[in-house]
Amino acid sequence: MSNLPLIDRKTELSAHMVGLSRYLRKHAQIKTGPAEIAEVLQALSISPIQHPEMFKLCVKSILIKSKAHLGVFDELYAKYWKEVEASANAKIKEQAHPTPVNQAQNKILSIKEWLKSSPAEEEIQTATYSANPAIGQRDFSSFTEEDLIELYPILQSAARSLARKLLHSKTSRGNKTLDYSKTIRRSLSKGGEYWELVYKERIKVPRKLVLLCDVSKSMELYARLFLQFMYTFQLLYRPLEAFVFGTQLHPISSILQKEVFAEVLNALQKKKLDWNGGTQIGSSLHTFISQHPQSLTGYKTVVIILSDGWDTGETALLQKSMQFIHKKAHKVIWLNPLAGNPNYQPSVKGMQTALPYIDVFAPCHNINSLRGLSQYLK
Amino acid sequence: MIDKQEGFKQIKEMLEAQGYIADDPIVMSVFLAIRLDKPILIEGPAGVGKTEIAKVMAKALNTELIRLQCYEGLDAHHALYEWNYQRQLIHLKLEEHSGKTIEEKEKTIFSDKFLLKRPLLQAISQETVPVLLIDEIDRAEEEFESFLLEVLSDWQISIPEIGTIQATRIPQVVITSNRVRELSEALRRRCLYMWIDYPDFDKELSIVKNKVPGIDRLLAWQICHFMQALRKEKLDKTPGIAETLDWAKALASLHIQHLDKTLIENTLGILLKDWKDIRQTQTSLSELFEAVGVKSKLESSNG
Repeated sequence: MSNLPLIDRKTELSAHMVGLSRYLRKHAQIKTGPAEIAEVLQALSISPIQHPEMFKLCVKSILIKSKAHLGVFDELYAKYWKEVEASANAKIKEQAHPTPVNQAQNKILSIKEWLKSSPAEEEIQTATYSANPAIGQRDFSSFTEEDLIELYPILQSAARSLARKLLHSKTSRGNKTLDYSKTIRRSLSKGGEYWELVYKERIKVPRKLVLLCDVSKSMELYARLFLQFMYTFQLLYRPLEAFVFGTQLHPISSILQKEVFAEVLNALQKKKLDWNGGTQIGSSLHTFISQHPQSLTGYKTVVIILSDGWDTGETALLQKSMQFIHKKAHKVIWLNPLAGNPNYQPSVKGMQTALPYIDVFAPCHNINSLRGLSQYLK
Repeated sequence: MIDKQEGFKQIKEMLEAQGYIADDPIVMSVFLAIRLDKPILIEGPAGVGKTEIAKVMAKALNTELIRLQCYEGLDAHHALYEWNYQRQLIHLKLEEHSGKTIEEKEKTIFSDKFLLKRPLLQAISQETVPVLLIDEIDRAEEEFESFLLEVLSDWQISIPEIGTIQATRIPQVVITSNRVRELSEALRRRCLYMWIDYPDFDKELSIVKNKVPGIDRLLAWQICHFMQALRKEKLDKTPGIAETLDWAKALASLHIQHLDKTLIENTLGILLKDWKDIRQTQTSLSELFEAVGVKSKLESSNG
């Protein structure tokens, strides 16, 4: 790398570190600010950075704060210096990289149109649509493409009310714990006599939800709607972790936290998810338990899996993973859009395997079934 | 002993002198942590030597290691200080008829004698800079993490009954996490981040040779190859370097010179701690063993 002369002059070095930090923030959401840059400069001044690799290592040690960023750093670091070399005046021009979005290929982006409407409008629309009971009972699959756009505000409203319901539900009274220090302090004013026992206050902790959504071909329509539902829900409700899977598992909690849903969709597009592909529930769930074990801890964690159970993978792996999830989680809820049909029998191989490890098996084919989720989550 | 002004190379040598095989990223983090007085946050799977770094640092800096083991339900009091309530109660009872005023009584029961120092308070009231190991922070709740953040930035602890205690020296902090729970952005930003993964073959081999000096060369080779292959299996609890060392020590003490299938089967309990994993490995043992056998033959013919 021919970047070493750049670090000879202090001014250039700091300019480059600012540039690099901005570059990292832009391309990988690695959040570094002036404090980190100052620290990098301080670190560089004391480190043996004669070798480019050591220089990189030093910068990396300071700027990287999570495992997820470790891999992307190397790539972006190399790219950054290449861009520096490429630009004639050696100043960093942050080029906007408009990502080509293939609208025709993925219908999900049609939601974008609707999202452009103002929030005030949404509220009004919500109120009118909720008044229509029929729409709540209609199966999602019976909606046409145009009707679906009308459905989103209602979906949002349902998600919001579910989140509020869960956040404001009352906790049961449990065992009381004596607050020794307050009891003693209060007794002192009575001359050391224990007139009154003080108990510790109970703090209400919202239970954690883990959402796993199947986005394979057979689930295409429902996944689209459920993503929208998840997005609105997580705006109000934390702690929550969300994943999508087809043949592979992808964590999407951080993606969902974007300000506009269109950005969420854009980011999901870039992830090259296997929309419309096959389903490997077993191996996806195994990835979930082995790589994201932190998701299953927490206060009375509830795992919600949204899938029709069509699985092309190994049954043994699915069974093993479901068993593990069942053991660790407080409750496992499986939402199957097909279960809305009164004649439905969970006869698919995947569904059969998973059933023994499911606490609640429920439909999710219309708005009412999504609203009904609150009864399982309280 | 490492001095605060020591260079990168010296730190690498010192870590190695303590028997810790460290690659450059690890040395860089330790070096920067010592020189910039920053906490290190170490993440990685279980059994890859996260806690060991703190121990080695304490030895290399020739200072005391103070350990705060986190667990679910750990609160500020258990980490900072507690009043010895039982003692306070007895003391008050004994002094009931002593005729002392309330203020006097209060002064005695809230004095140093009744104060139980927990790790964080201990760490800031040391004469020499200690290494403070906050182990498995991910087991504690998020509230504790925010509280810890406050202590890590101010280095002072206020006790309402006594007053504020300011740190004489800022401890060298090592925080470890098994990623059971995602840690807050704020805590990450305050620390130097280090990810330790399962070692590759060469690193594992040098660790085994270093920690089990008497081990047969071929055996060490085979053990490491087997471990590398075993980690590729989809297991519930993938064995770490700690298990490799246990196994190597066990086999070395039995004066075994090379692995065979029955031997592996009989000693599998050292590596795997879950019966399902054991059963799964037993069924795929032939393939695993074949991989090891082929590799060690190749290498012995090359070497």
